[in-house]
Amino acid sequence: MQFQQATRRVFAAVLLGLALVALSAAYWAVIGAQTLLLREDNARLFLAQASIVRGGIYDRAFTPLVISDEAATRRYLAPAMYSALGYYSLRYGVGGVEAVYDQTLRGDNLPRDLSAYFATEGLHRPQRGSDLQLTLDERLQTAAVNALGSYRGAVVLLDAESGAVLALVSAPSFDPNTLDTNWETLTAAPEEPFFNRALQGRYQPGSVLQTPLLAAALLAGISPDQPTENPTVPVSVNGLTLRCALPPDGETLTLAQAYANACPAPFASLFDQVGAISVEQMFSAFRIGTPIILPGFEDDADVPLATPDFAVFSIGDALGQGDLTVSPLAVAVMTAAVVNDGNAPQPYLLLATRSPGSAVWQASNSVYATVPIITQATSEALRTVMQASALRLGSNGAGQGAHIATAYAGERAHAWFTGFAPDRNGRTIAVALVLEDTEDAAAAAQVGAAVLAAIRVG
Amino acid sequence: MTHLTPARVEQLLLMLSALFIGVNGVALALARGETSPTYALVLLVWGLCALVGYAVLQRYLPIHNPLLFPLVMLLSGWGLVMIDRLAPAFADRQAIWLCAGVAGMLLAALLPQLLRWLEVYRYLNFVGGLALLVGTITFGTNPSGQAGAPQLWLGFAGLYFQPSEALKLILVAFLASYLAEQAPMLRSDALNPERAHGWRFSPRLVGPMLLMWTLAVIVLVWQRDLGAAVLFFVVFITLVYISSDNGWLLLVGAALTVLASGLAYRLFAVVRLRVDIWIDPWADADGRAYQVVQSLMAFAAGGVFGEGVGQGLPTVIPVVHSDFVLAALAEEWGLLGVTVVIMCFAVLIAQGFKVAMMQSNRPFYTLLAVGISTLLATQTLLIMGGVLKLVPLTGVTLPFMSYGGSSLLVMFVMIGLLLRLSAGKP
Repeated sequence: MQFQQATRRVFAAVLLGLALVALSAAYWAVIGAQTLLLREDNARLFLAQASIVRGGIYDRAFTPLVISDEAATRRYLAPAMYSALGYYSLRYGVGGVEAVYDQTLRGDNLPRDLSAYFATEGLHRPQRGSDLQLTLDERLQTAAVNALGSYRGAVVLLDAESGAVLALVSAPSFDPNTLDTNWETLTAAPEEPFFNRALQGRYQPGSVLQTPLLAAALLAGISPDQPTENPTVPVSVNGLTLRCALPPDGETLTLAQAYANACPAPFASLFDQVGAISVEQMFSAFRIGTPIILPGFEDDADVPLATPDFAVFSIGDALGQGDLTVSPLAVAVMTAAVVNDGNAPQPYLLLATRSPGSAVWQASNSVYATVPIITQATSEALRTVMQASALRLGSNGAGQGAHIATAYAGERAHAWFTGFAPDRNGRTIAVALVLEDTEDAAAAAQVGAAVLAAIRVG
Repeated sequence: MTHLTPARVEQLLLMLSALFIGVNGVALALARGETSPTYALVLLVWGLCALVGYAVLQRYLPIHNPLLFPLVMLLSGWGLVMIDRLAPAFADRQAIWLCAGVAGMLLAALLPQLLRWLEVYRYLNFVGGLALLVGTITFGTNPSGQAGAPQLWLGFAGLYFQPSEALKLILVAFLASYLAEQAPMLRSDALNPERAHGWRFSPRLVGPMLLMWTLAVIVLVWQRDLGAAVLFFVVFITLVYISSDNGWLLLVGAALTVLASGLAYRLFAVVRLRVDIWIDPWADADGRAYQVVQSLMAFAAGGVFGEGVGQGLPTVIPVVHSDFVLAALAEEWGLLGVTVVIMCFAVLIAQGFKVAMMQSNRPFYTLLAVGISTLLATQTLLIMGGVLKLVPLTGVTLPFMSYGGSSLLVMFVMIGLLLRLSAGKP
């Protein structure tokens, strides 16, 4: 056959070509696959992320706060909770609680057994995350948000005995449902809506520190019922003139009454009486200046907290107008210690998790030890003073305590309120709140009273 | 134990193909979670074509190669499933062209005088092909309607036919006929010691080659149909090589190819673009090389076993239903699927060459079969290579599987001719 040899050669060339194609396909499918698939322009990666059905977040009463539906769209259901939970965005990442528990919510820490592998790789079912039950109480949170109204600042509610965080409010905040559209505006906003003032805020404590000062005085044997000299005299410290936060009823006040009105003069003389070292030791015991962090969260404040320094601890520091700053959470823990017989609880957020498809909630088995701050006797005495202070501020509930304070930071002033009240179930709940850019302590007292009232009812 | 006659083999293979297409069809419907009546209809049409084709062939051409028809039905059916998965709007049109293709195949296989007509009236066919080419230059449009896109189609009543596809077959027939006649002289020229000093190649040999080269250049320039030009040229060189058994011709052909490619690279931005993205697609992965990069990513995403029909993301590749259908197949059926497809094509081409080898002492038939097989092989290698970045993209489609009615029709006609040739002496 005349053409046979040439034909055979051509056919061999074709087979060689096809073999090359097969080898090339094998290369790209097996060897080159890893680098290729990790490229940024691989839309499959993005799709895989976008299709993860994140776990839901529930409050302590199992009220749903955040839910992702089957199409992986996440909806934040309770407007009052917006500032507490953070955000989740496919484009911009996660923040707040969504960031801290991101792995759990995505289901990354679930056991990867064969059936899970088959479901995702074989059947291409979306990855599911676990649900979270938080310690937050949606009713108390709503009440706190309503009480705060249009003020900027923060509100923290804690179960004084266990440390469970019942409410966490930071204002102003943002709507996580419309995050993607408003991202540019929100990140550029001067009022910093992403900043969680309750956890990350570092405020000048001002007369908030009258509580540990009083504790130091009680320890030194000074009675809170003793009369004070010139209680309403203004005090000059660090270039500021400090006065009573609330104008007192008369000219003669006991120490307890000076505390109720947050008058600085008696506490300035207490500092001289008790001595810098004792005051500083009490401040250390109360961990003033040490960051109080929720488990899993990072201490990401811009300004590192200053710690008491023996050499330069002065009257300004003692009156809360020095370098020491506190967060509203820390103030709440301080009050909780007073309530809890002198033992400060470790605040925490997570109660339980639930695996996808399971009906059983598994309690988070973390055990948080309390930190002994002061003796039971001291705490009892402090409680009595705070209860009297609450009466002075117009509260009408039994077992309630309160203290107002003002603080000055440069041009700005803040108004504080801290207190406690028992709820219907007999738990005592500690409150701390701060109103920014106002020295109107009476306003803080009003907000505080509304919060205490909500605690009593709820 | 039933005796495995060729008819039985063909029957079994067709049933196996039907099973494969059926299972994939159901799997696609399940993966999509819904099904449309046209989808089921399209698969039914395929089944009918298979049935009718088999029955007619058995009745009127009982002796024929039993592997050809099942293979092309498998490939075209798989292609139908792919097109429905990738671009459902085009699936019914492809099904219509499939019917036309099977009809054309049967005509080519059964028309008694067709082969003779191809052999004798070669110049008429050639001129007809050129007329079609001129017609396309003058009246050509592009179904996508984009300005600046190559105007390679002739449209009528919503159906578009690409004449360059028919031209491929006409050319192969012309060359087979011409070279079958000239072959003895070509061979003697090469062996003739007297010609050692003079021009080694007589004008008779060089003439048609230059003519073809010029034709390819015209096609390239006017139509910007790079793929057809490359195809014409490779098939031409191969046929001349086979008929003359002269290795020098291959070298001359290669040199001419290099020359033409170099010229094309300098003169045409399209060629420059394609060569640049072939050499380094990563440099412009978001822009000009996006198609190739995503195609490779589809191969990577498929891995060995594939993601499953309807469950990958091949749709990010632009024009995936025509040129890049192999990449989509790689993503959803994996390396296994690609290997099966390559083997199907290998067997198909092998059958074509086998048919060529059995045409004892009938050079036209041999060369026709070789030409068809080479055409099929070259087009397959070009597109598979292009999709895998082995060669630059050339704009040809994967035979039987890509969306493209004219290509499908002409390919089926070529298979019909092979079937006719495999039947032996009439």
